[in-house]
This record gives sequence, structure tokens and C-alpha cells, in this order.
Amino acid sequence: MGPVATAPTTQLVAVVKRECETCQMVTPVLRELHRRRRLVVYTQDDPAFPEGVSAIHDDDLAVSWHQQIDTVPTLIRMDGDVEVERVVGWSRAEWERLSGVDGLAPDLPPTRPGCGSMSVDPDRVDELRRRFEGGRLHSRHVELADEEDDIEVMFQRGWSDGLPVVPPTEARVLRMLDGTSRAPEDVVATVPPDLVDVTVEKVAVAAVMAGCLPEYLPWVITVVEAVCTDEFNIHGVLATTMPVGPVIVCNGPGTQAIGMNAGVNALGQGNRANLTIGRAVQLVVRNVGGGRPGEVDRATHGNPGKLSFCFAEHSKWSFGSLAESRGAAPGADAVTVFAGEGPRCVVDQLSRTPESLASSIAACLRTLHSPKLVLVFDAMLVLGPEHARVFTDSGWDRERLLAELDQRLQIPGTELVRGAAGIAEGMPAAFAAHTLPKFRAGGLLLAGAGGAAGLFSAIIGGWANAEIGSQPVTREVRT
Amino acid sequence: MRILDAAAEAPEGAGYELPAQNRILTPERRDR
Repeated sequence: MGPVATAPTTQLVAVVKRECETCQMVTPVLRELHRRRRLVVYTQDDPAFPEGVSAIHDDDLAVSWHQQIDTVPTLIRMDGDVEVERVVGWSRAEWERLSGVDGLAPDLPPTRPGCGSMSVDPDRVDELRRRFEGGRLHSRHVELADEEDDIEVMFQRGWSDGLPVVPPTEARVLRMLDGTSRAPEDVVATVPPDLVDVTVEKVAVAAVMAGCLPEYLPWVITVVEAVCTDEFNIHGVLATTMPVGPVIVCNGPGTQAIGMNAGVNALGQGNRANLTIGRAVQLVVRNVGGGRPGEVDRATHGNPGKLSFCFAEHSKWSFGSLAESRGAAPGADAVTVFAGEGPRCVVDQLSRTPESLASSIAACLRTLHSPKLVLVFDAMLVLGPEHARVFTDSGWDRERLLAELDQRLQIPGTELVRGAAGIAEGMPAAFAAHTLPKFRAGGLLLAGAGGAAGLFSAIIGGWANAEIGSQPVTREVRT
Repeated sequence: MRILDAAAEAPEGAGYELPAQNRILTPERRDR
């Protein structure tokens, strides 16, 4: 046996359970360390285990939970109350190094993996989380009677967007909160129209109801922050009779980490992250902010995207990310919110030059809202990969494409004024002598998404822009 | 089942709800 190398103030803590064969195997080692060192053993399932060691029964698993034990045996070196280092499973070399005791159980294999801690047992973990972390939550509890259908209760309370929602039990909300480092009581934003402070906890409730996974939560929080700014003006987006809602474009490596779809059917159904992030945001607006259709939401028609309209941008397309073009740090996870209506398809399967395709897209963009209305609405162009390739093959970048589109969207005032072409709608007569751009400077956003096959793009009309309406907002995601 | 309130919290004293077993006696529930 070697010398005790660690300082006298340090002590060792081991967490074990009898059910674990590796824990049984290292019993002689535990006895040896217990004899030679300041070793405290916590046993999860049997107070008589390990034999020959006076162990503490972690019968309620409180120690295991709070020490975040996920595997047994775990050997921890403590300096006072502070953990210095831990070893998971059996490794003679690591146990010797951590304990400062050489020559431990030479007859045992050099390594052996441990077993799952009882504190992470799927049958127990939700109950443990509720028991040990339930005090973090502040929302009022709503008791359902045994015979009540929980899904129907969600509808009856007006908490649904028209589709079933997941009941936000304490266990589910606590699990959701694991997705962020932010405290449940942190205020994320003040949500119109009722101007209610929404906490991380309430966002987590909405995320549960929407069907999110915990790793989506930071994205949901960031989008809530973004739409609740004066610039985005979610109150106006709600109250308008136009069919707009938050269109959410996500950028950064995190989009792939959480499985977002930027490819086939990116703007459509079928991807959990895309759909539930956008849905959770709308549930916050509805249930916390009080923004409900027919009340403050006065949309004449609305659009299906008001349930959720959220997608990721292609990570490696040649035009660079929308978020970076709007000031986000390179490579950062970020969201851009845009007040938009439903997408329309731009069909051009014959253009093989960038000039032709730009003209084709510009012709479609001109028709947004009305071919005779300009400057007051922004728009988003979502280039499909095959269309994007027509431009990139000719060396066009983001700036060039936007400039070429702007050039093609300079419209003589005589075509725009009220009465022109026999249409009463249009710009005031005073503009007849001017040439006007369809979009204000920076009013056309460019994103890239969609499947690899199809010479199509999508265009999304916006709502009233500038001070009277909504400005796109880009925010970096923080966990 | 016990769930968390998804709505904005009502001011203290408002929004108090009867326990679930009592709520069953509302007319709609009684008629079902």
C-alpha cells in the first residue's frame, strides 16, 4: 500500500447500491478505503450494504439527487463541502489516484462500468424531481378530478390554440426547466396585450403544452423575448385585421442539435422542433398575454401559420445566415422574428441565368399585398436550394441578389397611383411623378431553406413596417 | 391529476377555485 497523498481536510464519498454487481465487486476496496481513509459510503437500496462498512442509507435518495449521481459506484473527493473530483464506475487507476491509496484490490479487473443510479431510474426520476425541486415553482396548482379528461380540461379552460395540448404537470414542467440554466422566476418579457410579466416557468408551462422537448426551451424563451419588444410589436401583430403572425427563422449549430428542419418541407408539418417552438410562443401570447382570436386578435382571415411558423435556415448555404446579416455573432445560435403571412410559392423552372431568375422572383414579389402598394410592407424571400444555386453558380452573393431584386422592383408611380389600370387601390396621386421601390431599404429579408429538389422559392408578405407596424428582430439564444 | 396554471396568475384572492370534487356539482357537469 502506498502513502495517503491527499490533504487531511479532504474526504472520500462513495455512492453504491447492492443491486449493482460492480458495487458488490468493489466491496473489498470500500472496506479498505473505509479503514484507511475518511470514506463516507451512501447506500441507495440496502442499509446493510456493503458488508463491513458503516454506510448511510440514502433511503429517500436525497443525497444521490442533490449530488447528481447518475452511476454507481461513484467515488467523490471532497475538500470540506466542495467536490474536487469524481470517478464513475470502477477504475483501479482512477480510484488509486483519487484516494491516494495504491495497490487497491489487485485481483479485480482494472476497470468495470457501473450501473444506473436509482436517482435516475426512469420510474423514479419524475417523482424525485417533483419532491426535491417542486419548491422552485410558483404557478398556481389546478387539481383535476379523477373522472375529468385532462385534455378536455385544457380546452375548457381556453388554454388551447384549437389543437390538443399536453397537460402541464409539475413533473413535466420541472423536466422542461432542465433545458435552461435560467431560474424559473426570471422574468423573460412583458407580454401584450395584457402586459403581464412572463417568467421562465410560465414559458416552460407553454412549452410543455406545445409539445416541446427541454432542449427547445432556450429557443422558445428567446423568441418570446424577441416578439415582446417594442420593435416587433406583438400587440399590433395580434390586433391587426391582416393575416400575420410571428414567422421565426432559426440559425446556428443549435438548430441541428435540436433536430430542426431546414430541408424538405421546412415550412410545413412533420418536425417536432419547428412546430412546437412556434406553437409554444403563441401559447404564451394567448394564455399569459391574453391575445386570443376574436378578442384582441382581430384578423380577418388569419393564416394557418399562426399556429406555428418556425423553421431553420440551411446551415451551409452560400448566402450566409439571416441572423448574421442582421448583426448576430458569426456561428451564434439566433432567432429572427418577422411579422408575416402565409408563404407563397415562386415557380420558375426554366431560368438558368441569375438575371432571368431575379426578374422572375421580382415579378412575384411585386404582387405581394397588392401590385399597386409599395414601401409599407416588408417581405421575406426563402430561396430554395435549386434557385439559390442559379445565383451562386454565377457568383452572386446576398448583397448582389438583394441589390438586383431592388433594381427590378423600382416601379413607375404612374402604374401605382390610385385609379391606374382601372384599380382604385394604389398609392396617392402625388407619387405619379416618382419611381418607387416595392420595399423600403432593408425591407426584403433573405433566408435559405427547402428540399434539394425543386426550382421553387417561397415569398412571405409582411405587415405594416416601421414605427406604425412591426420591425424584424434578431436575438441570440442563450441557454 | 394536478397541473400548473397556464394563464397569467390572478391577483391574490381572485381566481380561487373550489376543490375538484366540489366543481363536479356545476350544472353542466351534473347533466353529463
